[in-house]
Formats: sequence, structure tokens, C-alpha cells
Amino acid sequence: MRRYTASLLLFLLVLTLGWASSGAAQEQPKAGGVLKVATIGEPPTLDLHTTTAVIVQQITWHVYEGLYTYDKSYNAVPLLVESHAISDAGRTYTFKLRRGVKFHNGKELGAADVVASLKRWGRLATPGKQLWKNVEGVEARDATTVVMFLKEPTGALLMGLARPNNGAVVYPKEIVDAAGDNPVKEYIGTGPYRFVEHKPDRHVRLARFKDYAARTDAADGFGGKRMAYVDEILFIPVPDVAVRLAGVETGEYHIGLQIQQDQYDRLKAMPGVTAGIIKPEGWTTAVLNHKQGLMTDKRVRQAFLAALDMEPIMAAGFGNKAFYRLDPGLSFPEQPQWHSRTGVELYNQKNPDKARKLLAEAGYTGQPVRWITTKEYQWMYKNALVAKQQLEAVGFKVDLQVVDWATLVQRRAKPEVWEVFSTGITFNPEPAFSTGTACNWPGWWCHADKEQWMDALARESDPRKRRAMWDKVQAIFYEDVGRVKFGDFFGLSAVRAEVHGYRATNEMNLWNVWLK
Amino acid sequence: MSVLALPGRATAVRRAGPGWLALLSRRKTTMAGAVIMTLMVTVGLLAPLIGGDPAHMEVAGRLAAPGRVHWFGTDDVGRDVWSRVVYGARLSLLVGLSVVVLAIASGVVCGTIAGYYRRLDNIVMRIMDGLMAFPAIVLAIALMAALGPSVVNVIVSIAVVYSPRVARVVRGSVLVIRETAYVEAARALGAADLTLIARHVLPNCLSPVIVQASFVFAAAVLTEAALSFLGVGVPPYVPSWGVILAEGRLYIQQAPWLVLYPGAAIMITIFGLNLFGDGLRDLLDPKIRGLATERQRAA
Amino acid sequence: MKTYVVRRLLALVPVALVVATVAFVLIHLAPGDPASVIAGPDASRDDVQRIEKQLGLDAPLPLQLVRWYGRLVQGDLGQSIFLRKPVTDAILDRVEPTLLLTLFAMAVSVAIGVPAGVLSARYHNTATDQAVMVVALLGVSIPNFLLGLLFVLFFSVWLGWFPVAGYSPLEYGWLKTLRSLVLPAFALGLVQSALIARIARSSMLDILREQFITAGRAKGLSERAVIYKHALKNAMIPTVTIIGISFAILISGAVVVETVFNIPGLGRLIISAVLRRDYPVIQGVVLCIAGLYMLINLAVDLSYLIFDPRVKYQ
Repeated sequence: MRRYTASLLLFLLVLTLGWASSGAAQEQPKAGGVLKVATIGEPPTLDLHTTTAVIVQQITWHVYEGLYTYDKSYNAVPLLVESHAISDAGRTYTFKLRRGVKFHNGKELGAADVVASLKRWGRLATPGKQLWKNVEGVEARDATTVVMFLKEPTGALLMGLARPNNGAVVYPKEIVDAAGDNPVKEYIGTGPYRFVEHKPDRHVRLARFKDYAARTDAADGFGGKRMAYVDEILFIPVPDVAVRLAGVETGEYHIGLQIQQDQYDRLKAMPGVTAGIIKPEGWTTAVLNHKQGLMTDKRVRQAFLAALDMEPIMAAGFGNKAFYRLDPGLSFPEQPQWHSRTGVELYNQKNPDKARKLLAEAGYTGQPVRWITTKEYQWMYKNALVAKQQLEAVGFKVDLQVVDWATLVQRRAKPEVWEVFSTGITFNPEPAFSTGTACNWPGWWCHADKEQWMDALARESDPRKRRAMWDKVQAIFYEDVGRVKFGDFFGLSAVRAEVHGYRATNEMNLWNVWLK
Repeated sequence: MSVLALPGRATAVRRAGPGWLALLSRRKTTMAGAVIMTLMVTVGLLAPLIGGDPAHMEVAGRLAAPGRVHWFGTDDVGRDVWSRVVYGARLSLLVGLSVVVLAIASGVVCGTIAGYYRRLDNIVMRIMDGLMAFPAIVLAIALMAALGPSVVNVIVSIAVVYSPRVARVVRGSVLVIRETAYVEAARALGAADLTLIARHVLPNCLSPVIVQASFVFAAAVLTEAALSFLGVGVPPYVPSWGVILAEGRLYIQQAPWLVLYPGAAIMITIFGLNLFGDGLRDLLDPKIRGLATERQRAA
Repeated sequence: MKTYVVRRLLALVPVALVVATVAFVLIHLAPGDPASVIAGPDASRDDVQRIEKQLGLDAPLPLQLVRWYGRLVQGDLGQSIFLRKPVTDAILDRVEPTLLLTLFAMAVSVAIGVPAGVLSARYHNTATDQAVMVVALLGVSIPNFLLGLLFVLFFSVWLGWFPVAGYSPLEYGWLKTLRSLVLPAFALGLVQSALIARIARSSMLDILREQFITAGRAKGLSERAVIYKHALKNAMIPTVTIIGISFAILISGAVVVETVFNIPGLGRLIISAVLRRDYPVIQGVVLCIAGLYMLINLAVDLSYLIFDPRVKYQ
């Protein structure tokens, strides 16, 4: 009897151990499978140097890599670089590249490739052009060393190089030379996945790069070791958000991006599907035209700002209260080192009387305010619709022009055709390169003091001093009504339960992700 | 263009007997169609009185189910769906009528010229045939792409698409009437072309044109809804049944009223128009049945 | 007979010319100068000028038209601005789903419509007839995209029988392809079957009234023989016409339904081209569809040589 009990206990123990270990085994990544991601639509290009479109970054940063990237706290950590040294009072950066990193065409990464790519990025990319204002030159000292000479010391260089969107990624020198300022013809990088094919309106197909040289340090945020578990990734353009979500529900896609926030409750209830919340994704805004037209008059701008009640504007755009919040900051509460409530008394004023008074002072006689928006980002359209109602209640006459995103991007470059356009400023860990406050970006908000502070911000290294400068910029943002911020919003993606290791972020990385 | 496009034979002689109202009401289906049409027209005309404000957004009450306050519920930005459907009727009425007027006007002019002046017949009809070689919705989409989204452009595009069909029918009638002894005699006597056309030829084309008008109206309502649904019709803040359908698609599970009410409105309206149109055709052109008319309706 | 064929072919030429001209005019209807309208996002002065040169928009209008005809005759539909590949390639990429959907929908519409129409004619003026006709009229009144939406709600979301959207290309197996096309094909096909039923019914009724049918009945032939042997054979002419028109109508219906079901066919191509201002693609698709329409009409007309003895002896 006792032996029986003993063996029974032993048996149970083995069972439990087996169960526990298989549970642990479930956490073990498994290689294989084809990961299908439903995106908002066709990428306008696959050349990351040439566009700030988020969809391009989300696809191509599995193919290309840059010198630096972000860790979990959005600090810059080395990626292609082994180490760097700063000298000459912060004006010279010497980067030592990692050895044995291969491009997808077999070529080994060298300093010449980095120099060529950086120069191109500095010429063509929006953050690149901004950063390059401070760059004296860049050269290859030897096969694995790149040296960068700056005009002034800056605290933002590494962050600028780490930024994924419109990022400073490295192409082989031959491809850079062949392309010049035109888009590159071949998509060769050093990333864990290589480009296979792009069938427009069907998919972009990536496959695991067998000779990928992964870093050895542990994965941390986007940095550290990058493992390509799945065999292939398919990015499928599904412009219809209803179809996107339904596709994840039925298992046709593994991940669906940019799901409408008011579908959250439905998503939660779906079996086999989890919600990926990106907090924060960005802040939505109406960009005012400071170069030409009605909005050059400060009183008109102030009237615009005074009339708005942000709550219904954001509620209409995002539906679910858990996905937006009203906050005046140019940075987010998730970034305590930058977030500030300066100017809060001017944010969300809900003051129609003040607006009417200002309009009267400015001598407004009913000239149409041309507002360009798009339905391709549903929330842009809805923000504009509600704001239009509020503005018209105080006497503005708003001409709402709804076009496709591509046309909006084209029109916003022409100051003579609009007074306001809709957009969103996505989360950016480094304010010095923020498009939200830039002078050389459509809207052309150039304010002498603000420019001074932005330049100083780019050069300063002391975090406390930088924060104070950013605060000053924010104060001017509200006083001068640079742009009109509606509120912060969070993104929603739909992820099937078979997908493991996935973290929902704006940038969306699919390395270290596996299917089971 | 083909053997089976037979020209219409107009009932030139006015019938002594029961008036047209009595004739129409003989068939229950036609009456039903007439009733539905009248209902739709009334709703459209009275929209400012019974519709409320289709643009007013009460964001806090968005996606509310139909109830006492909002008879058809509210949409995703808190607009009253009853309001939007009613104003959608108004828009459909506006688009339908305008398209009919434009298409009939241009169709009659082209058809008469083609039928009356033999030398111009070929050229005009080739152009009409060319336009009809494009399926209606495809040509409408292409025209909207060129002209840009607005209510006026939608009306113009749809009118351009459907006037060749009207021209065809008118030409057929004119061809037949031209050959009648009555008209030949009048011409021999030196009557001016314009007088002849206005007083003798045109009135006898009335029946097929009226029949066409009802088809064109139905087609215009349907095409506008399709264009707006696809996103290439009226601008999205104009209340149109097609727009409401497109916007309501995402919420079809949580808020099916966004799809069901405008969908029902479209169906009922076109059903009524078709019923009425069929009755009209049976009354005015009983000889024309089957293939030719259906081909016209379908094309 | 030969003259008939030749005449029909020649009749195509002026129509084709008009079609080509209409497609050409589209670019110039847009307000503003065509090159900057087409040039696309972030276009610089250089981009605009490049497009002008590429599309030959700097030449005088008549010359542009002649060049356009010339290119069309050679089968050159131009280059897509957005996709950066020849329009012909873009169209060939996407013609498979549209064609398959159209064929499937046609099968559905004929399989349902013809028997319904014949049945209705057989039991003319009875309750069956009235019922079928009312249902058919209802079918003609419902927009195909609305029916498609309702199908998605019912069959995909609630019942889960069919995929909610998307298209499985033939290379992955024809069974999967069929399954992905069931809902859109029925959405298109049911609406079309209503039309076919009406036409089939009217044609059958017309024929049943003909003398030779009465003669057949008088001869004592069974009702069955009357209907199937004599009436139906003669109803082939309009039937073939129906099938021809249906094919053409269904292609245009596919344009709308493809959007509902996210099928990457010609319909989606033209809609996304419109939204992206990709005029060469719009022109190309419109031309292709019109060309197909014309060919089908030609085929139908030529088929009368077989079915309609009156034509043979013209």
C-alpha cells in the first residue's frame, strides 16, 4: 500500500513537473511560419530616406538598420555601431562600426557605405536636413571607422541618428551612388529580414536573412539582439478598416494595424484576438497657415483656439474614452523628462464670447477658412467635422475640403490653397526634431524667439536646461497659436493569440516575434 | 448598334376613353409604385420641416440605438440618422430630377438632330454609341475623377452617362415619325423645320421619353448612391444615402441601424420608381416590351 | 453573311475612336493644369515638368490626341504614376479576380434567372408569375453593394461560413478561390438574375404568342414539347443577348462589389487610382472595360448568325 502511494505521488509529481515544463516550453520561441500584417494601405515608396510616412518605416526597418536605435525608454543605443568616442569639446564623433555585418547581397558593411548613406540622409530626409545644418562633414577614417564633424556641440545627435521614422539607415554605397536623389531601385540593408518582392496592392514580402549578424547583448526595446523567428513577413495593404479588423477576427491576418478605437470593446470580446494598445500614439492637430491668408492675423488664430471645446472633438475622433486624453503638452505624460502643462489656460478654452470678440477686433467679415482634411485617417475627418461646427457657431465660415491623404500632403505644401489642414504629430522622444514645432514644415510657423529656443535645444546637452527650453517653446506655442492641439490619442491594433513576443508600439517591430 | 434595338412605335393618336389616371390605377403594382414615389418626394420636399438638422453633432450621444428622441438612432459622431436619411431623400430627389432634366434635354436635342437630319445621324449616333460603350458606373467614376467631388459634378456626370440612352430612344421615334405621310406632306408644303419638330415630331416622342425618364430617375438615384458609397460621389459631409452606408459599414455589428435604414430607403425608393416605371411603360408603349426596354434599363 | 460580319467590324471603328477620345479628354477635364494635378505628393517644379514631358502634355492639344491614338494602337497604355510600372502590367495583374468573379456571378445569375423566368412565363398570370415578378423587381431595386454588405453581416460575421473579405489567388488552389468569391458572386449574381428572369419571361411570353406555337398546340403537342422544343429554342436569341449584356453589366458591378469585399481586381484598381489621381491608370482601366464591352456586344451580334435566320439572309 505504501509503495503504491509512493509511486502514485511520484507519478503525480512527474506529471506536475511535466505540465510546468511544458508551460514554460510555451514561452520558448519557435521558428517558422508566415506572419501576415494588415496595414492601412500601400506604402508610397520603400526608400526610407525619402519619406516621413509611418507605414514605410514600419515595413522597411526590418530590412534596413541604422547606426543607433531606441531602447525601452527611448534612449539611443548602438545598433550598427560598436562604440563611439566624443572629442574636441563635443564637436567630433568617432564611430567604430561592428565587424562582420553583412548586407543582403553578401557585401560586408563598411565605413564607405555609412558615409554615403548618411550624406544622402542629410540631403533628403526631413530630420536629416535639420540635423545636417549643424554638420560640418562626415568621412571614413578607415574601413570600420566613421568620423562626424559638427559645427556646434549638440545633445541630440545620437537621438537624431536613432530615429526610425525617415531614419538614417545604411544602404550599400553602390546603391546610394546609383540612385542619387531619385528613389533607390534595390532594397538592400543589413536587417534581420530581406526584401523579396513588392506586389502593389497585394503585399510586400520579406524573408528571413540567414546571414544576419545579430547583436549579442540582450534585447531591450528595439536594441540588443534581434532574432528573426518567422520565415516570412507579408505586409498586406487593407485600406478598409472594417475589413482589416474582420480579417484578424477570422484569422486571415495575424496583426491588424490602426484599428478604430471605438472597436475596442468588440475586439476584447473576440476569441483568439488580443488588443495591442499604443500609448501614446500622438497628438492630433489643426495646422494653421502662418505664411499667407487669414491665419497670419494673430487675433484670428486666437479666436480659432478660444472657440474650441476639445472633449467632443476628441470623443468624435476616437470614441472610446480609454483611447484619448486632453492634455496641453507638446510631449506626453509618459515622457516625464519633457512633459509640461505650460499654456494650459489657453488650451481647451471653450470660450465662444472671447472668440467672437477677437474676430470682431480682427475685422473678420466671413472670408472662408479653407480646411483640408482626409477620411483615410478617420479621426482627422471627425476632429475637423466637430471643430467646424464649433467654429461656425462663433461666426467663422469654414470650407471643409475632404481629399485623400496623398492629395493633402501635396496641397499642404502650397500656402495659397489652405488656411488649416489636419494631421497628427506622432510620438517622438526627441523634441529637437519635432515636426510639430518646426519652421520649415507646412504651416511655416516661424517665430524669432521660438527658433532661438529650438536651436539652443538642439545644441544643449544638460537635460534640465533642455527641459526649460522646451517649456519656453511650449509657452510660445500657445501664446502665438503656432498650431492647435486637440489632444493625445492612443493607437489600437488587433493581434491574434498565436503571435508571441509582440509589443504594441508605434514603430511596430516584428523581430523577436514568433508564431505558435 | 445591333439588330434588336428596335425603334419605338409611338402611340401617336390620343385615345378616347378612360383618362390616364384611371389607366394607371388599374394595376395595383403601379399604384403602389406611385404611392411610394409620392411619399419619397414629399419627404424630400418637407425635409427642412420634418428633418431637423442633419449636421448637428451630439458627440456624447453617439451610436445611440433608435428610440424616442432619435427615431433612427445616431451615427458615429452623434448625428441623428432620421435627419440624415430624410435629407438623403432630398438629395436623391434633387439629383434624380436634375439628372432627368439634363439627360432628357440633351438626349432629346441630340436624338432629334440625329433622327431628323440624315447627314448628322451617323456622327451623332457614333458619339452616343461611343459613350454607351462604357458601363455606366465606370464612366461616372472616371468623370468624377476628372471633375472632383461635389453635388453638381455628380449630377453632370450621371447626366452625361445616361443622355445617350435617351438620345437613342428619341432618335428611334423621330425616324419613324419623319417618314409618316403627314410630316412628308407638311415638309412638301414648305413648313419650317423647327416648327415641324416642335409641333409634330416631338409631341409624338413623348411616350417613350416619359418612360425613359422614369428609368433615368431610378438609375440616377442608384448611381449616386454607388458613387457616394465608393467615396467618389458627393463630399462626405453632404447627407447622402450612399455616404451614410459607407460610414456605417464599420459599425454594422454594433449599430446595424446605420446600414439598415438608409439601405431600406434606397431599396424602397428604387422599387417604387421601378414599379411606377413599369406601369408607365405598359400604359404608354405596350408594344415595346421585353428585350429592347430591359436592355435599355440594364445598360 | 460575310458582309454582315465585315459591316459589324467596321462599325466598331468609329465607336472605338470615340471611346479613345473620351478617355483622352478625362485628363483635361480636371481643373488646373493636368501635369500638376497628376504630379502627386510633394511635387516640385521639376517633378511637374517631368510629368509634362512624360505624358507629352506640353504639345498642342490636337497633336496630343493623335499621339494618344498612335500609342493606343500599339497597345501602350502609358505608365502608372503611383505604381511606377506600365498600366498594362497593372491591369494584367488584377484582371484574374475580376474575370473569375464575373464568370461566377454570371453562372449564378443564369442558373437562377433563366429557370425563374421560364417558370414565370409558363405559369403566366397566375400567383406564381406575380410573385416571381415582384421578387425580381425587388432584386433589381437593391444595390449590389448593399446586398453584399448584408451578406457579409449574415454569412461571414454571424455564421462564419465564408471569409469576410479578400481573395485567394488561383495559385493557392481553385477551391479556396471559389470559396472566397461565393459571397460577392451571389451579391452580384442575385441582383442580375432578377433582371435575367424578367427578360427571359418577356421573351418567352412573346414567343409563346407566336403563331407557330399556337399551331403546335393545335397539332396536339404536349405542353412540354411546346415549351422546351419550340419556344425555348427560339428564345435562344434573346437569351444569348442577355448573357452577353450580363457579362458586361457584371464587370461594371464587380467594380463596386470588389470594394465591399476587398478583392484586388480592376474595380479596386480604378477606385484607388481615382483617389490617388493616377490618371494613366484611370484611362487605361476605363479603356479596357469599354473595349471588353464592345467585344462582347460584337460577339453577341455575331452569334445571331447562328441563332437568327433572319440575319443570315440579310
